[in-house]
Amino acid sequence: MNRPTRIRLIAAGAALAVLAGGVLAAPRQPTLSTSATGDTTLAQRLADKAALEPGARDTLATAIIDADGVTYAGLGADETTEFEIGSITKTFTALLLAQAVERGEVTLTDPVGHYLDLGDSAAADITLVELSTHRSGLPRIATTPSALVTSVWSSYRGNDPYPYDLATLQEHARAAGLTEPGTVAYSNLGVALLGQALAAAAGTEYPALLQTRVLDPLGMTGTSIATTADALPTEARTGYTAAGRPAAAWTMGAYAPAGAIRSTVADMARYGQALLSADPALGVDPAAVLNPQGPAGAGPLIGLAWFTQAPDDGTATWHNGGTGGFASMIALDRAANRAVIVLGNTATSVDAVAMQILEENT
Amino acid sequence: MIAWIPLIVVVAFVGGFAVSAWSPRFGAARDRLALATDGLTAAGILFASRVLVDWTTATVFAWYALVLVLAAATVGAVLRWRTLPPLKDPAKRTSRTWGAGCGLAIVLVLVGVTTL
Repeated sequence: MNRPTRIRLIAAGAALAVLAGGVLAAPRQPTLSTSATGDTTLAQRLADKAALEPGARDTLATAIIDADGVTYAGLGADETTEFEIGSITKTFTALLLAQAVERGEVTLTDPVGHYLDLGDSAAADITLVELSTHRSGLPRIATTPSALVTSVWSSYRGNDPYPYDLATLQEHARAAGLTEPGTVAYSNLGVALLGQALAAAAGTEYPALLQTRVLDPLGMTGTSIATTADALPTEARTGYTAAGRPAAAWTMGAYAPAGAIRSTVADMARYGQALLSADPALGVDPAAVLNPQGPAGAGPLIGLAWFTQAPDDGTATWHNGGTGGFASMIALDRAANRAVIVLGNTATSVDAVAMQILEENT
Repeated sequence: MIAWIPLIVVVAFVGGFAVSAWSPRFGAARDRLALATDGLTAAGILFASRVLVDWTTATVFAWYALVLVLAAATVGAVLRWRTLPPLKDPAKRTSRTWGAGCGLAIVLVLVGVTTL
């Protein structure tokens, strides 16, 4: 074989190797499942609205609560499929606060420093109601250098950005500066402190408090909270980032009260029905958490964790959630006695999907 | 717009290697070290782009297009290899080698981080 021919063969071989490697290493994107479950009409509506917000989709599940009961639908998932509900967890923590007030364990105006070791820091004087309504002035997340590095790295990797124990959570709070206390600034750090304070006031841990006071009374058997990765079942579902990359499960350690619950649309529908009907199993009148207590900035109003649309925008009372690999939304139309829940296993928002379904049903 | 920036960076590196391998004059590799560095950098950046680029925005067809360009550039690099000196200016051997080594080390770290 002469030299030019040999070089051409080497070039062809190298190109083939690049092409083969390119095919093998191609990014794998999840696509929205076409396997419909439940009500076929609702499943089609879900599929039609899935593209309202850009980003990867894989599976979705929804429930509509109205006078006729609950209607379920899913794409690649059904009403028993587990999802991380992210920050909707904050509404459960708010419910625990209202219950604790009702039981006389705490008052809304108790300083969180009564229950947690916050020393003489500014955070110690923040009241429980300020934590629940995001008026504490605390930052959204811890601002210590190591926490910021962890947050950035975890955002990139889709990992749990809150792998902290209670001692570290309290350290984050002691180190935090307060910015404009009294005005609403969404704070995961604040709601994490609230949940831990309520657990301390009850002499237990947050997961046990949630289980005994909310999940068991409501019969939410498909709902759970694991605060460490080791405590998660090995078959626990994981999702995808909005860009379609696999994301790790979020368990959130001591930050669990701000976003670590895993649930199903069936259980979330049970929760929604209880809120709409003032079910005694809630332990309190749900108005205590749902009713707005004031503005949350330019747009919505805020109650204990729950947001209510500004009058010009609608009447929905809602909370959304997002983790590294999941997105969630629960929206209640209290006047019409309707609610919509949408859960997805990608971080692509489902807010608009849920709101449109709610508005179409109104 | 921000979502497109990683893709634009990848296109620049892979396109740069294609120019380096095929261009008769402007942007053509001056020596084998430059050609090898351009090729390995382009391959590394493309590999890392699997997780750095939002492929739901760019669509995965952009990936296959970039792989085709890289393959074509590889053909050009192999054909051009024999016509190039190892180093155009041997007096700059140390600085060029250090520069190439540092550049490749950065790409290697990027590939490692995105593969973790």
